[in-house]
Amino acid sequence: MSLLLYAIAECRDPGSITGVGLGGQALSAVAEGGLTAVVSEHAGRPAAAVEALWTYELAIEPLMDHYPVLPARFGTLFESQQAVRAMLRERHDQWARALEGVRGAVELGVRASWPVAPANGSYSSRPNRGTAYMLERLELSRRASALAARIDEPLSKLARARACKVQAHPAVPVTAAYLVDRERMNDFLARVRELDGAIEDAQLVCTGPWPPYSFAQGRQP
Amino acid sequence: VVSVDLVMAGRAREVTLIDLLDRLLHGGVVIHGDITLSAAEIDLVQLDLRIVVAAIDTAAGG
Repeated sequence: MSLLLYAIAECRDPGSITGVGLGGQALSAVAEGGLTAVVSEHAGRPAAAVEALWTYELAIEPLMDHYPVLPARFGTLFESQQAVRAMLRERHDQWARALEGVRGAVELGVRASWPVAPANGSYSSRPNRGTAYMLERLELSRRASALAARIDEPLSKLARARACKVQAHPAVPVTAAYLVDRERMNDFLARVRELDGAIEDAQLVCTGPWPPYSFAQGRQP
Repeated sequence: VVSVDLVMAGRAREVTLIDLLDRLLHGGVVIHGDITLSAAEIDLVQLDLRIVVAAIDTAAGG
């Protein structure tokens, strides 16, 4: 039986960790040096079916209501409690810094989409015709960058950290994640709504609050 | 997770699922050598294949 890692938490009372993980297994805590790894027993490799991914997510969400947490990438297995303790010990400073960075904050996702392909934007179904294709790609890239700037600049001002991905994609040109102080969440959401109303040629969807998956490695703006 | 519905509900649900996949398979703490996910185990039903496959590729290579 292996141990599946859900998150690393700053938890003063590891005994208070409760919850249910994959396969109905109880969550338990492995503590070392002031850090707590939240794990459950798991036989074999976890299958990343949608239901399992939601179970995993819903096991982590209650934790972040009580402690700073660093969610683990799905499928992170350890052979034993000793191996988990070694991971906490050997990378203690990295985890401690990252936990400090996410304390009191949540992750919010923002995705911008063009509801219809841009003018001349059927490029994905057009044959590659050299210059015309490249010009279309360039125009798509320019539009995506301009859209990202309109979204990312105002939202970054309300966030502690951000990760914004811009791509010359005909449908979803901007995908961003923001680390937002809990007390600023409503301000952030109101700003997203304003932007959604003001930007005529794109739709915005905001999801969350998520555990800080995009900031778990201590990434800063 | 509460999806903030700024567009059609169906579209918001779809985006929430894509966001979930992106985060669990592409984000989070990475402990090198411990990721044992394989693409063959992923349930791709009802998902945007292009986006999901990109995330799986990253996880499998992680």
